[in-house]
Amino acid sequence: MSERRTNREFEEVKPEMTPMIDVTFLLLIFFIVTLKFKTLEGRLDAALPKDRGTSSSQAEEIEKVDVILQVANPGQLVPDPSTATQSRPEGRLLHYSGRRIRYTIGGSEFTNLEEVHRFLDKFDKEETPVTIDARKGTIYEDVVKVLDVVIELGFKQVAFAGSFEEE
Amino acid sequence: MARRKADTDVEVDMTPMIDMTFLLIIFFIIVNDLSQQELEELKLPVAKMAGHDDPPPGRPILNVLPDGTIVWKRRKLFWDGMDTMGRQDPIRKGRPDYYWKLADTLRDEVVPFMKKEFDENLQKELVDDPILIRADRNTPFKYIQRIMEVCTREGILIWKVQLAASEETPSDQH
Repeated sequence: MSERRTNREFEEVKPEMTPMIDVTFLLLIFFIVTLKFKTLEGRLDAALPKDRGTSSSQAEEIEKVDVILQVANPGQLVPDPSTATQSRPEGRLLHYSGRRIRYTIGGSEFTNLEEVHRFLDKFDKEETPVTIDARKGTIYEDVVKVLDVVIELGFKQVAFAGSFEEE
Repeated sequence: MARRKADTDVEVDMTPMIDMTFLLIIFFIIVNDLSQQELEELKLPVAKMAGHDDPPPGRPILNVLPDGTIVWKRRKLFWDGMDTMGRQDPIRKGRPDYYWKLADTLRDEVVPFMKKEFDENLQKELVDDPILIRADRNTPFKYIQRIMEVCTREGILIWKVQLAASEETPSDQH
């Protein structure tokens, strides 16, 4: 009897691996599923007036450019095919189709960004301040498109007009 | 005899597999960037000049959904039809202040952790760190203007604003 017991004590102790492997795989699968790859996003830098509120300094002799954005045709909010998923083949997110914006710069009107690009190209980019004045109904995308053109041309001073209109 | 023994004793060596599995787990933990959780799901506008964004740690991110709802760290700071609690806008006098929650949160929970710099011209301490406004492309621009106005309020004074945009494929445009 006693001999048997000592025999047993010297038997190799094997830890049960199965639960650990189960848990490990579970964790692995969890992390794979929750993984969201770093989305690559860009950004456009802008600055707000350091002094509070709108600046009311009218006595500015320097030439400045005021880009006014007005909605010519708001377009239709439809599903965006570029965001299609299996469950929603027509597109998961919405976008405006047929949207038209009218750009007014110093009295001249433009309907597309290429013209705006060509018009703004004539100005001195280092010195001329550009104000983007987005009027009623404009969406973020419209403003970013204009801002993109302005930054692409190399304007150094870009500002946004305040929105003190009634709602 | 020897052959029989080999038959009965087939034991898979688990150690390399477990090693690999742990390695993979650690890889996924590291790749799974926790800062991503601050990003709400929305579609950014496309901009050619969108500089590549290397997010500085701790930069506040204001997500703006298409209906104007502002989400910061999974918390809603503004939504359409929010209660003003009788507050008035400090800049537009006499108007209700729908952005009090955003203003309070920025003042109490965001600005204290940002770098400040004293501006000699204005004799005021301004925030020197940027804030990222991450708005959906369909957001009416007035909501973003309001956020910018809140940023210039007394006690907040953030003037470096970054607008998130994606530098995406032309197929994304319409």
